[in-house]
Amino acid sequence: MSMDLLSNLSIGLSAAFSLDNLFYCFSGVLLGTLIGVLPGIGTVATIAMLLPITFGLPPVGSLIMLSGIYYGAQYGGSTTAILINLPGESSSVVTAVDGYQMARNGRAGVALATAAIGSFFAGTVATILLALFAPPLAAVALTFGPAEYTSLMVLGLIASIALASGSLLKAFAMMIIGLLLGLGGQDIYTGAQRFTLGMVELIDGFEFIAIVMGMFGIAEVIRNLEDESTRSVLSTKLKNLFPSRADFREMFAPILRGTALGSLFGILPGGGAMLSSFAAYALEKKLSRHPETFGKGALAGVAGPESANNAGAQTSFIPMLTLGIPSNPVMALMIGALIIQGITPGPNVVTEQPVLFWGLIVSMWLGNLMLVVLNLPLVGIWVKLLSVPYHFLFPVIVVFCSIGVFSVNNAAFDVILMAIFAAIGYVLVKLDCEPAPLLLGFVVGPMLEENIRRAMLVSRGEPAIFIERPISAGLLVIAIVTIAAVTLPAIRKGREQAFKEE
Amino acid sequence: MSAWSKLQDKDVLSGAIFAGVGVWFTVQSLNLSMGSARSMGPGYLPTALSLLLLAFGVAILVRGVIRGVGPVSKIPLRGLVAVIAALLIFAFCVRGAGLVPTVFVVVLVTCLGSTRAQPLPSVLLAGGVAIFCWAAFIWGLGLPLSMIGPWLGGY
Repeated sequence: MSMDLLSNLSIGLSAAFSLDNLFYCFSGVLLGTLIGVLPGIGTVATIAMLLPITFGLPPVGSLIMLSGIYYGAQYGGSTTAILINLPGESSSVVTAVDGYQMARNGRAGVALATAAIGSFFAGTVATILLALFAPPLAAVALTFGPAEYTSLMVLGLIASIALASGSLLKAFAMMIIGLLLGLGGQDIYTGAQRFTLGMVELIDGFEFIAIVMGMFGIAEVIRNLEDESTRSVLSTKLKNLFPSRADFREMFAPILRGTALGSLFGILPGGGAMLSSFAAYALEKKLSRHPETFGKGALAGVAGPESANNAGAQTSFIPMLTLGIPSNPVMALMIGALIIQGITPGPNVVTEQPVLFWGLIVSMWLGNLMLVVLNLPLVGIWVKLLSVPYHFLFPVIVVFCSIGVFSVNNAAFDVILMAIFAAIGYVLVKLDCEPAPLLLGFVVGPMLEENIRRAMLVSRGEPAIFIERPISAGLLVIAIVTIAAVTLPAIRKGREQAFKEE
Repeated sequence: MSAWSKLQDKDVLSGAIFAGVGVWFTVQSLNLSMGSARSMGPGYLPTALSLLLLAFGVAILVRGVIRGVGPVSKIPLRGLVAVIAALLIFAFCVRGAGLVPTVFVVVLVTCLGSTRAQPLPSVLLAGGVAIFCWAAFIWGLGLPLSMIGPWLGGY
């Protein structure tokens, strides 16, 4: 087993350290941070915008670059949260609370360094966990038949809704719309056209990138245009970037706890990164000897959540890589990228694409290292970027999204599709309907249908197959318990509180 | 609560939208062959999901009527219209007019969506972005788009 791991890691090392892949990793981290640091552009929007430039790369290179973009964007988001109290992403909402206060106290440099160090440590641990646990999990998943797979996907979808914030009913409805849209286009078995309205452009289904960029990128731009009040960037000099010895002592335990919490929550479907950062903040506040300092610039309030959200970001790759099931919108994008690269997501990836799998793992650690090396010296540049007014930024975002979506299939139609989904996405957000479940449904839809069809074929039309097989039945029971749990009044109250807690 | 303010409730509106979308998908799915449970046709799962969506829509609608969650906040049309218009201009003009003039116009139209954008800086921004896009996407990445399209005497 350990020999296996070593030989696998050496495959990964040689893939990740190839000159090309080092370059992709580096440029991914750099671009991700660059775009992620711009206020008003979240992680998903950043990845969606940059996704088209990875299409031309080989599969390993493109996945390495995309994950680089992912943690770059996340770190960029934390930078915005700390410096201008504008969390670009729900997972950095809690970072903004104490990070911004630290910045106001003249300790912005220390807050940024703490976030970087915490993220690096958490990323390292979570990467090791990924290397250890992903292959056995994939081996288990390989024994799954279509019935087990169907139940697993149902569980994944339900859990991701249950763990998200907001109305359950609305999240369910959004997910079903996503599933239906995902089934659009030509049916693989019969060739029948579904939901295409007779349009040739829709025969291959609704373009994933157009939907993502419309609902996450452009809709966000429109939302930001609602309120154009100026944001004040802290103009204080970023002196004493490096934490003191006392700071290190103070951040040590929160980083460890945050890493543990984040690694655990990241594997769960749903808002892994967000849930873990909220939980880490609550935990630190509870354990602190000076809980009154929280909200006024407590170092632990940055170290814990930042480590947790990075660990969660990393371990959320586990279900994506081993089961082919996205646990959050970012992983849905990654699966979309895999499919575009001609790789079928699922447990086979580990054994059939060892270079991709292990190369990605090694490069994740490398990307986290680059993040620290890159960000501490470059923080001055990021601060300058933050002071770019939004009305100069958003036209550029609109243009880049248009060109990006256009270039996927060289189709102007996809840009129209993006415009439609942007308008729909914006209206739905105004009605408190989160777009994330729709995206998950869209990605899972075709896989779910295929497995249901196969399972029913195997069982000769008997739906009992889903409860007669023990693993499948077990997964469904967990799904039902999850729904029951979040709808029970007592727990629902707690859930609402957990999301309200700062 | 008056009927009008009920109509503006976020649950009522979203429930109505979901139910409407559910009906549309149901109608579309019923045109497809259902097949049997053993050998599902292309319409089997879509029909089931559409009806489920319809049910959820109605449930949200009813919940909204009984116990509203509050009216939807004002939708400022300026940003929405400008951004969507800019995207449509891009879609319809990029081949005919070419990348550079299209991007120039798209940036200007997008700027109309902001109350803060000033005329001169917007024009400068449009020019800068247009040149950057030419350099990055046509010259650098080699996208198959013309700089100046056939409408304007290009190639």
